[in-house]
Amino acid sequence: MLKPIKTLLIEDDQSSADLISEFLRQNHCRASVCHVGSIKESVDCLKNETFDVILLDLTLPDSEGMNTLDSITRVNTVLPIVILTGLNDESLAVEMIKKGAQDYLVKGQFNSSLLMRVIQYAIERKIIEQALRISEQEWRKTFNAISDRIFIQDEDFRIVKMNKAFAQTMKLNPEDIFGKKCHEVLHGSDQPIPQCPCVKTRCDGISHCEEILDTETGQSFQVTTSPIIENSLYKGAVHIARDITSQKKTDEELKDIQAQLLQLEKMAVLGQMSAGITHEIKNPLSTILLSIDCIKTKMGGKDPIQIKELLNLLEESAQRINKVINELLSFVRTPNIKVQRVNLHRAIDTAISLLDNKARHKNVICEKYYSKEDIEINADKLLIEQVFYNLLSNAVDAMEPGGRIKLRTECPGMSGGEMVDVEISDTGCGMTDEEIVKIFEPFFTTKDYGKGTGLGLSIVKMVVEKHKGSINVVSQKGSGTSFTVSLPVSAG
Amino acid sequence: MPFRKIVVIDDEKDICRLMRSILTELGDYEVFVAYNGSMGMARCLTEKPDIIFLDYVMPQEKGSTMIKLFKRNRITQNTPIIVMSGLGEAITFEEKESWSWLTDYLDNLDPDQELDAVKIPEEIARSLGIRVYLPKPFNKEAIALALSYILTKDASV
Repeated sequence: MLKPIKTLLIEDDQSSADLISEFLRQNHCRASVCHVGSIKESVDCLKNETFDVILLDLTLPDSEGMNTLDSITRVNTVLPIVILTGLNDESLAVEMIKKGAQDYLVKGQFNSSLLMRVIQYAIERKIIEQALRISEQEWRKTFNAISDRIFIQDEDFRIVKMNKAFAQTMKLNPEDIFGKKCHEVLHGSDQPIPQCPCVKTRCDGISHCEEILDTETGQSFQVTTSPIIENSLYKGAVHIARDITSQKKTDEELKDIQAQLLQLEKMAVLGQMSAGITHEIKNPLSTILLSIDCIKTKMGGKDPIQIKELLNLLEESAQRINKVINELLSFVRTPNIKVQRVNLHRAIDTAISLLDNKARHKNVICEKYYSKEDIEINADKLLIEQVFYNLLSNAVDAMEPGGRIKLRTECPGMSGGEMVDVEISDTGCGMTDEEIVKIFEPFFTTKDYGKGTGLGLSIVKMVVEKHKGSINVVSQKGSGTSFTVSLPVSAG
Repeated sequence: MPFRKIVVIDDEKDICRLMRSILTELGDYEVFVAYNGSMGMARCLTEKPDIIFLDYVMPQEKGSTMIKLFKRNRITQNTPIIVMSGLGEAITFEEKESWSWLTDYLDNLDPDQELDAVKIPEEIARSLGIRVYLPKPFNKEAIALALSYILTKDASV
C-alpha cells in the first residue's frame, strides 16, 4: 500500500497547475494537492497544514527567481522542495539545488511517472538529510559540551575540527584556525614541536599522553593525542587537552598536608619514645655519676695516672648526655604559654646579654637597628627570649671571628593586629638550598658532631608558631644567613 | 647529729648499692635497700627509718602507690620521702594535676642550669606527701643537698 503524499503546489499558472494535479492523481491513488498561486498564500498554508513535499514555480506574482526559494525556506526547513522551472533558466534551478532544493523539473518536459519519481526521491532524500543533520547536530552538541579542549587534525597537523572549549581558550574564531597547523596555532612555530605527543602519535600511530605547563598562564594540561586510522592509514589525530591545574594544586596541597601529618606523627612518636627512653637512660646515667663519686672518694688523695682527670671527663660526658635528653624533652613537651605584654626590644636585649660572653670570645659585633618606637607584643617572655637567644647563638656559631650580626626591627602601623618583623642577619657560612629546607626539622644540624642537638631551630619554629607568628629564612652559602621572625603586635 | 636510718627503694640494684655507699660516706647513716615496693614497705615497717628514698617508676608497685601506702601507715606517715626520678616521668606522671608544678618548674628553668634536688613548695608537698624531688641522674652533691633540705627545719611539713 502506497503512503499518502500531500503536495503543496505553488504555481500561478492555472493550466500548468491542473496538469500537475492530474499527473499526480494518475500515478498515486492517495495523492492530494493543495494549490496556491503566490508566496503569501503559501506561507499561510504552510502555517496551517502539513505537507510531504513542495512543488515550487520560481516565477510568481509576488516573487521571482532566487527570492522565491528564499521566501519558502524561511518558513520551512523540513519539507523537500522540487523546483518547477522553464526551459531557459535551467542553470538557475541547478543553483537552487545547491541552496537546499531537492530537485527540479523543467516545465513541459516531464510526464507523470518522472514527476512521481522526482517527488518520491525528494522526500526520501530529505528524510535522510534530516537524519544526517540531527545526528551531526547531536555529535556537535556533545563535542561542544565537553569541557576538555579538543581539536581534530589531519595527517599534516592541520586543524580540521574543534570544540567550543578549544576555540574559547584560543580566543580565536574557528574560521581563523581551520586549516592552520596545530603547531602554528598553539606554539607559534612553523615546525612541529618534537616533544609534542601529536608528533609521536603521527610517528607510531598510537596514543600518547603528556603533561604540559602553560608558562604564560600557569595552567597545567594533560594532553592526549589519539590516532584516527582509516584502512590502516594514519589520517590524523584527536588532540585532547584537559586542564588539571586545580587537580594538581589539590594534589600538592594533599602532599603538603601529608608531610605535615607525617611530621606530627613523628613528633607524637618522639614524645612517647622520649618519655620511655629518658627513664631508661637516666637510670644508667645515675649509676655512672654515682660510681664516679664513689671512685673519687675511694681514691682519696692518691691519683697515680691522672685518673681524676679521666673521671672528670666521664662526668662531663654523662652530664652532656643528660643535657641532650633534657633538650629533647623540652622539645616534645608542648610548653604552656603564659602570655603577657612584652617589650620586644628589651626581650632581644636580654637574649643578647645572655650571649655576651660567647660573642666577645669570638669577637662578634652586634649592630642594632631598632625602630624608634617601642614595640609591645603579647608573648611568653621566657620563651620569646629563648627564640632570640637560639637564633643569635646560631648566628655566632656560624661566623668566623670578626663577624657581624645585624638586628633590625620594623615597626608596623599603630593600629594593632599587625605583625612586627625582626630580622637577624649574620655574615656567617650560610646554607645551601638543601640545608634550608631541613633546618627546622628536629635533629637536623649543620654543626660539628657534639656541638648541636639539632633541636634549637625546631624549638624556635614551634614557639613562634605558638605565638601565631611565622619565621622565614634567606641564606646564601658562603655569604650569610638572615632570619625574619614575624610576631603579632599587641593591640592598643 | 643523731644516728639515722635510711631506706632506699629502687628496682635498679646498682643504684641501691651506690646509694648505700655514698650515703654512708655523707653521714653516720644506717642504710637499708629494697628492690621493689613491697620489700621496701616491709623494710620500713621493721626498721622505722628517718628518711625514705623512693624511685618513682618501678615495674611492680608504682611510686604513687607507695606514697599512699606510706601515708596510710601509722609507722611511716610522718617519715620524709625523697622521690627519685628521671625527668621523663614528668610528662607521664599519672597524677597530671598534682605534678604539673614540676613541668612548670622545669619550663622556667634556665636551659643551662643543672637540675639538683628540688625542694617542693610546702602546699604542694602537703598534697603530694613528699618533701624533696631528686631528679635522675644525680650525684653525691645532689644527694647531700636533698638530705640537707630534709634536715633543716624549714623543710618540715
